[in-house]
Amino acid sequence: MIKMKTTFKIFFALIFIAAWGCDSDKFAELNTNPSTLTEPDLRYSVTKAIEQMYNDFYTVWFYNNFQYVFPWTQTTTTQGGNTADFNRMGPHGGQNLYSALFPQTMDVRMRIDAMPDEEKATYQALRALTYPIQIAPAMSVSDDIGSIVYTEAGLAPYTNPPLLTPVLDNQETLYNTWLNELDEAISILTSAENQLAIGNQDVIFGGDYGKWAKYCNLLKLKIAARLVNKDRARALQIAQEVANSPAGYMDALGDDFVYKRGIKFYGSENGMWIGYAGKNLVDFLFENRDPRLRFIFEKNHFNGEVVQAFLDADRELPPYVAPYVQVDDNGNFAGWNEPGEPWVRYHGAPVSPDKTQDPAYDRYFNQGSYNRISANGVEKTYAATSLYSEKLTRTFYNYTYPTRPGGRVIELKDNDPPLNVILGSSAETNLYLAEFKQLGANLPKSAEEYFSWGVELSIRRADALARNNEMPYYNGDPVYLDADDANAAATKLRDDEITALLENSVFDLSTDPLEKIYIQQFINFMNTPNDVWTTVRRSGIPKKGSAYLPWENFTSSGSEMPVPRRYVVGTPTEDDINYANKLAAVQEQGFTTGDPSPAILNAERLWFDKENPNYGAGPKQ
Amino acid sequence: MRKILLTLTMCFALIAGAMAQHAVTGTVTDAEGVGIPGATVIEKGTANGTISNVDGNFSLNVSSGNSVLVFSFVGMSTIEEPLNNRSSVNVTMTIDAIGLDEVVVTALGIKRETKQLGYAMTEVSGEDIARVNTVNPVQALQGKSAGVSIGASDGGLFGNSKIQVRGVSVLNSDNNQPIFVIDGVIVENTISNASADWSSSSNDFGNILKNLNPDDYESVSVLKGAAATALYGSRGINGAIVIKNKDGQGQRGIGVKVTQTVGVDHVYSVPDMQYEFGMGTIAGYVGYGERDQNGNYYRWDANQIYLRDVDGTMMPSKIGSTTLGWGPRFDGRAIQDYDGTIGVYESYPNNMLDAYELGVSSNTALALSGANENGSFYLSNSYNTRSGVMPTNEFERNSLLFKGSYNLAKWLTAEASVSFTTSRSQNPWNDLAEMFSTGSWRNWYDTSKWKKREVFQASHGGTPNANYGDDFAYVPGNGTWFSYNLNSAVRNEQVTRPIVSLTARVTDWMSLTAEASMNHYTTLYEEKSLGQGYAMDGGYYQLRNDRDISRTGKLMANMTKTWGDLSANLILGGEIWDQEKEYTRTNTDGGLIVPGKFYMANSKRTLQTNAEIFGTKQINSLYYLASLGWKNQLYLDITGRNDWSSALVYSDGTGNYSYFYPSVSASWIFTETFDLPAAFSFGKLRASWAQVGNDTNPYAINQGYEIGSVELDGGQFIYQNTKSTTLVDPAIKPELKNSFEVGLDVRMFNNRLGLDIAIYDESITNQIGDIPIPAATGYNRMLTNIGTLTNSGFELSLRGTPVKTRNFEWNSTFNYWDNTTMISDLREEVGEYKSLAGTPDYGNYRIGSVAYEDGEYGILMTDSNPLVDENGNKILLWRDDVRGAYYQRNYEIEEIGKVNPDFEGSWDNSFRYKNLSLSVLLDARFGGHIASYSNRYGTAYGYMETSLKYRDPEHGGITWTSKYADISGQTFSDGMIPEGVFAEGQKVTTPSGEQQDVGGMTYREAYEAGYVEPTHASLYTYFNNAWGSGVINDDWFSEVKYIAVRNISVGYNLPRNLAQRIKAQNLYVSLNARNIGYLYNSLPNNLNPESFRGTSSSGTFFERSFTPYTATYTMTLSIDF
Repeated sequence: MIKMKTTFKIFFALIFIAAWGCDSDKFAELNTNPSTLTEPDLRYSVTKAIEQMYNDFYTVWFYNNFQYVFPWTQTTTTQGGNTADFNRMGPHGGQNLYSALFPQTMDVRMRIDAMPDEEKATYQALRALTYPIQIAPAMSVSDDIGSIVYTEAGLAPYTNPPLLTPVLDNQETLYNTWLNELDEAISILTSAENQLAIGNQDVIFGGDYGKWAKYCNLLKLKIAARLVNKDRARALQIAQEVANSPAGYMDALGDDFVYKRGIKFYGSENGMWIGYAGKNLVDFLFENRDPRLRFIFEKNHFNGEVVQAFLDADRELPPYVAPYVQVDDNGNFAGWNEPGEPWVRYHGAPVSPDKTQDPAYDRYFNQGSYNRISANGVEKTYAATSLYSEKLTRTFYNYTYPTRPGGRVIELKDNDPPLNVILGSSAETNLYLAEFKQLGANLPKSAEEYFSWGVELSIRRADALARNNEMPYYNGDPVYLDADDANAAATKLRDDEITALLENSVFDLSTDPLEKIYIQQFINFMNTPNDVWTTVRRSGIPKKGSAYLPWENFTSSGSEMPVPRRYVVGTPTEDDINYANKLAAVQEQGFTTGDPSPAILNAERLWFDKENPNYGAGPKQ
Repeated sequence: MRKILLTLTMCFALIAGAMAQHAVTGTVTDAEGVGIPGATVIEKGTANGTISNVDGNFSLNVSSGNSVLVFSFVGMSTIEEPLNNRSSVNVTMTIDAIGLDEVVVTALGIKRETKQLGYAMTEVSGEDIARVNTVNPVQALQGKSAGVSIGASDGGLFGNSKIQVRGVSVLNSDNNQPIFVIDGVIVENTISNASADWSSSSNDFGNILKNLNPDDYESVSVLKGAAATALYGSRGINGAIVIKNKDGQGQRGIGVKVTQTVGVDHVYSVPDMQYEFGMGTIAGYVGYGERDQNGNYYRWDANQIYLRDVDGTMMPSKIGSTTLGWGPRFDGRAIQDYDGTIGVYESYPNNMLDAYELGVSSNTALALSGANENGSFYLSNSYNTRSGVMPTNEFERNSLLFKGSYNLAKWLTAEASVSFTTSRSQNPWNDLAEMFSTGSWRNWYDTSKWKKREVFQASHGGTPNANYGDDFAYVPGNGTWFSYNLNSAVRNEQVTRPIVSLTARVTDWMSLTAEASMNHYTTLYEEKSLGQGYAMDGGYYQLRNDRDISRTGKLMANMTKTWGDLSANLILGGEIWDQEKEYTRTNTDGGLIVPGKFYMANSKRTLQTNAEIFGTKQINSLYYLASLGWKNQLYLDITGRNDWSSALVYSDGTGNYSYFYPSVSASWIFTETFDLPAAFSFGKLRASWAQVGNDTNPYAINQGYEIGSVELDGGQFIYQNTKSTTLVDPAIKPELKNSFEVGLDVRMFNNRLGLDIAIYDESITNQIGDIPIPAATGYNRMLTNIGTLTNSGFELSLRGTPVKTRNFEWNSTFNYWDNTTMISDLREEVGEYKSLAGTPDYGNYRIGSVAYEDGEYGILMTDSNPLVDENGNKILLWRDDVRGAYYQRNYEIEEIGKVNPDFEGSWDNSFRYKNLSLSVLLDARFGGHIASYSNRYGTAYGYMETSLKYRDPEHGGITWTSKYADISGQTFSDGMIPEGVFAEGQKVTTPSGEQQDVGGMTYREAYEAGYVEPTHASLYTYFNNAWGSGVINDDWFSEVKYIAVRNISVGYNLPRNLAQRIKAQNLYVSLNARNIGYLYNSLPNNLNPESFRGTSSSGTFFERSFTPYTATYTMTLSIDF
């Protein structure tokens, strides 16, 4: 037996264990995530903030662009053709401004503000970047839903007690705030000296603060564009400031804001539901031989080989394809009528829901039944219409080139390029300046000069995106066995195409100048779709009965359908600590909340949209 | 503890032996004449005694021939036998009918007599668990104990089951499941929680519990209240399931036990789909089929079928057809099938059942045990292999356990055990059924024809695709069969659990134990996906290793003293527990270079890889348990525990990380105190008050910046810092559970009738939790102490033996329990409510579970109730273009139900006739809701039986001839009159073409006035359930009520002489049938009421993937040598 003393030794041991084990420094180390840092490098923080400018891209493309913006603006239909419900909206994306973008920008600002003066002075340009970084995505969210939290956004970490109930700013406040912030940013970005070099950490402009200043000027123009029917004098005033800004404005391809996220960013992994190209838009681009037709939309399946297969199977070609097909005496495909490849491969579909159900349009909406042929025991179905090019949204998928039934398998795959997205361009800048000049702003160049340069830049940028994102057919159509045919069918930009294009009357501003400028803005924005809707809303184009690009009436069972002019704004819920502010904001704007009824979303307009023309009404002079 | 006491007694006996004068020998036997080993024999009034050996024999030297011997043994009535100068005494012990000395395993593995306990608990025998043949031991506990709520999930073969003991204790965690304690080692019982909105498959690999081997269980104790679990500290806050594995103690010589089990899992029923009508779109949207004289389609005619050009004639075809199920009745007409052949327009009513396979299982267990005076051992191995009802779903497990104890010296005993388990779980996908309810397999899909490999895999190796001219390209869902059959996701798990302890008997009243244990849990996950593109382009390969190690070191002093009528026991303990988790993961990216070759170098793009050490945590504890007993009638336990948890220490070293919590529990056997009528065999009142403290997750209170890198062109890199968006309260306090419980245990008529009730009330204050903050503030959430949860409930267990004869016995146990978890003291920042799971105004369900002040935990809220007017009439949304009406959402967030049941119950009946036994276990749940994705969309799309309403006259449809000009004269028979009124100012275009204001009229009134015609069934049903417009309705949101036939088992102990022919001691055969069906099920479309998604405490109201009804039949043969 052990002696009693041992007992006390044991107790002693227990107490010792407790004391040893409860050393709080050791516990603190144990409880600190080894994978986090306590101090950030602000250059890295800005890099993250820039990355957050293109967010929620899957939902934004899937819902906002393909289900709402494109169908409502007659750019495309919804998948398979517009139905009677195409104007009823469901969920939408929204850039996710706050959970990652604002914490970054505010942290950069606040940390710089807390620096010793000397150090602080060298960080001013970096700090100034946070303004355009915030404003651009915030503006696109406000374009959809109106009032948003901005002036008091992201302040909770820097207020005591934390500011947990930030007000929502209405669009008037937003625009005023942004204009002030942009002016201040431009001034710092163009004049501050001895600034911290950010270099490649700025993946957009490689650390060139001057280009950021130009981008700020574009954001000012965007605001001016939204004020054009609200406060035209102010809009023109802003345009003049930009045109004369010592910082300059975006005026060359190299100034463009091309968003990228490293070589492993391909956009969404998930596929999209893509509708048919709108017929009127395709026809307009086709008639003008506008190369952007080839950069925005994808070719249909009717290449020479497929046409030959139809002829072999004795199947009727789609009526909009047949007129371009040359058939030789043996009944074989002999080539294309003018204008030939690649143009003959683009066909749009009507956008009115009644037409989707009308048997007269079966060759558009029932292609699965008509465009199907069998050969060698293999059956295949071919699309005669064009889709919006998915490669503009995501580059990580395989494309299978159409061949005859049982034919070769030719695929575009592997080595997917990193996605490039345009978030602001010199084309856009020039097209805005053309508009403002036309509206009477005192600008140094003529509207024509801004306009034609804007169109050229727009085409070159679209071409560059198509090339970078490796759009199918860009360098040739591999289905054609003959090298010349394959080259002729390439969709890339050819020399002199732009010069020839600008000869067309739709680029002649001596008649209907505003409509023509707006049409070009509309087309330019196909690569930046969040602006498509804003353009259509503020300009009334496409215009009903237009000689250039007409608006097609949306009807269901013969009655004209209301089309939303804003997104559904959710009903503020009481679990939200910011309930009162949200409620106040929807009340101030006069919104019915939660209800996706098209009539409501059409009638209850956003502040910037109140004086805008109705859909299809054409521009206000 | 019993062991220690017995050994102690033995020591005393040895010492005493030297001075004794009278030698006695004898045998202790049971009623059947078999010797009882380990029975205690004590000379009354002394500490002199011994224990019987393996054959029941004993020898003892007593002080005189007039001594009285006291024989006692657990579960047997104690016998006092005067010696009367005999030198040989044989006694026969009988089973203690009253169960007064019933001994159970309690916290820290301490064996206690039930009568001493001041709290409720239930012990289940290991055999009962092993018999039912479930992978997860949780399922086997279903219906076994009042207060323990168990429900199967959609997890499948080795997935998790939800278990909750007395409600929810932690607001911030979805894991409110009790811990499992195996021979003193705590293992975490993690939950499955795949999103019902975003993930069609639960992909549930289960948790560590699937690696436990029920064959080794001696007993399973369910510790419910805080008083019972207080000694487990923080981790026991949700209760504890304490499992004691077998050891060799009490074995005579070497024993061998062989058990073989074979079983099948059979899918016997699936939810009710409709097999009467084929494919067609919603009336008003028909744009195919025949045309009228003007060349227009019959837009409102549900009898139209999609026509397609087949060899020059237009005929019905499945290829290209609409996918909604609103088409014409199946009538055997010719239709082009998916493969282009001409088939018959008919349905395949067994097509869902055909998708499943018969699961087969086998379990082989071998156990060796032995004991002598110096020690004992137990060695077992079990091999379990089984296949599930889903294709390629498999499970395999091998468990090895060794336990040994040896008396190193008279005062020192060493014990060691090691459990080593490997398991392999393959392909837990369970979204097959969803392919039928909402996916791409219609009622005209012939499963047995299309699930073949020659169909789903094209000759080039990928899935058939029309672009490549493949056969079967139009057969829907080929990719699903492809994945199920050709892909694999396998988790190889390994659990090693060594435990060593050393017990020293320091004095005759004190022993000291040092114990060290470890739970070493590793998993290797390997995922192989074959590319489904042309020539198997694509593909994916992933390897992931996880390691979770927890270690415990304990020191315990155990002191026992008796002063006259007062006995006392004091345990003092100290414990250090720590845990570290890590993982490494590598996967291919962008597909595989060479298809079908699964290794990392075969990745098209640079490999993606990650590795992390996380979840480091340590808790140090000191605790005590003082037990006092007086005159076999009053017992008092006092415990206290102080924890120091690293998870509550801030990076700067501060924090409220030390917390103490005491408990007191008392038991009073009033039948010993008062002279009550003979009918009362036993009566006990018990009461307890206890506290338990709790911490939070490691790192939660220390937030920092993340770093990331981005690769640019040309091998350049840039870096990113990301700020945390959690606002952490700098003074978080530990959570504290305050629990109060009273109970009554009465047994009457010689134990033929027993009643046990418990009433409890526990509040858990200082809930550490997240408050979501509008992200616009710069924070997404705030972590702080946010409120209090209170559980109150009632548990009743009624036991009876209505019939008891020599040959026949009927035992019956009825359990009832209810629990309500309430919320209070919520922080103001929470606002009106805190969201727990789901979203009230978004998603497939538009339902979220929430917590609000003074409300129940898990109240369900939605913004999708139908809009009603001030009189409660539903307001109809009229659609002029499609000429029909359906309900509108009100877009107001309102309460519509709750997650948790009102009450639950179980009824267990067992019958024994001679050696044959039969038992039937029923269990029931009443209350709580289910939101069914399958029923919602399956109804909207016309696939479920609930979509049949009004489709034709047989299902209540109205027949009428339309007067609208464009379709004048067309007759329909799928009409219905929606219940409800038109909104004020509602204008309709009447059949005669006029505009008419029908505001305020009911639909029926407007119909009778000729302003509207009936609404087509498909339009009404579709839009009332569709994504964008659906409202809450009985077809898919339902209260869950069921009575399940959980288990039926038949066992037969073969006569001993038969067993002895093969030299066996005992031969036992049993048949077990599990989950045989439901006597009552309240859900529409025969939906499985136990098909909730996952096992979280707040989200188990979602149903996502149909779970087929699967019964398990098992046959077991066990032989003891």
